Amino acid sequence: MKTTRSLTLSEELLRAYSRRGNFHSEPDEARRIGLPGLVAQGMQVAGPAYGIALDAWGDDFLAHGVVDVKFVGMVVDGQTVEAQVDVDVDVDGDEHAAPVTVVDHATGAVKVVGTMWRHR
Amino acid sequence: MHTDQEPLSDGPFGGAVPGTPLGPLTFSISPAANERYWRSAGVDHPLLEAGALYPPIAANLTILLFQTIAPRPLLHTAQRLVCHRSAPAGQDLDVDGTLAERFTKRNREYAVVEAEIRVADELLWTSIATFCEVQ
Repeated sequence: MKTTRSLTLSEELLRAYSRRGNFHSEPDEARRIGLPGLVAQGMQVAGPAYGIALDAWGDDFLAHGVVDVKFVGMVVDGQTVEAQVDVDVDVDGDEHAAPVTVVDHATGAVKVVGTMWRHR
Repeated sequence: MHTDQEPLSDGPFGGAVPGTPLGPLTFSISPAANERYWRSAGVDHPLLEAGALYPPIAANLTILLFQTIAPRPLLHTAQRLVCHRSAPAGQDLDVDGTLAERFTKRNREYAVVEAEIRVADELLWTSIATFCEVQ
């Protein structure tokens, strides 16, 4: 079962997810080190995917979840990302590792890849 | 937060080598801060609204732990997060770890940090984060 969720990473959201004084929250600091804008933290970009897994697995995912992701593309303020998680349920109701992909909604460029599951 | 660690040199990641201990640090994630994290990541769930800690915060704590010795801006390139239990926001979180690995890929230096986050002496999250420096 593939589920998608999108998120527009506004400046306001990037600042809310970060401390002050760094390239995630201060445009001047991002420019100073040559970045094209405020850069979203990887786990913030992966957030919509986390939300899909949490919806699927609930408290068990909070207590026994595993997230294994790579941040393969930079996301800056104003971009919209779309997460897709394939929460696979077999005939016995035993969920397996769910493939995770987060892409730039406008271009399709991949930003996050990985898997999420629950350990025993 | 408290630390007395200092960068070791001007080299990548403050010159830290595998095995370098990190921390301990103590953080308290208030219910309001917890909610700010999950809401700004596009996550919404009744368990979080009821006050459960948002596990991806472990990555932020790992970054702060590494920044006690790595003085330059870091890009986070990979994250493995293992949850061992859930807990409510508002308690002290104790964070420590090590620089587990250094490697070079496509002429770029990377560092892997392994951190453990505990609440009331119980292991809450294990976080393994990979970083490179902004170039």
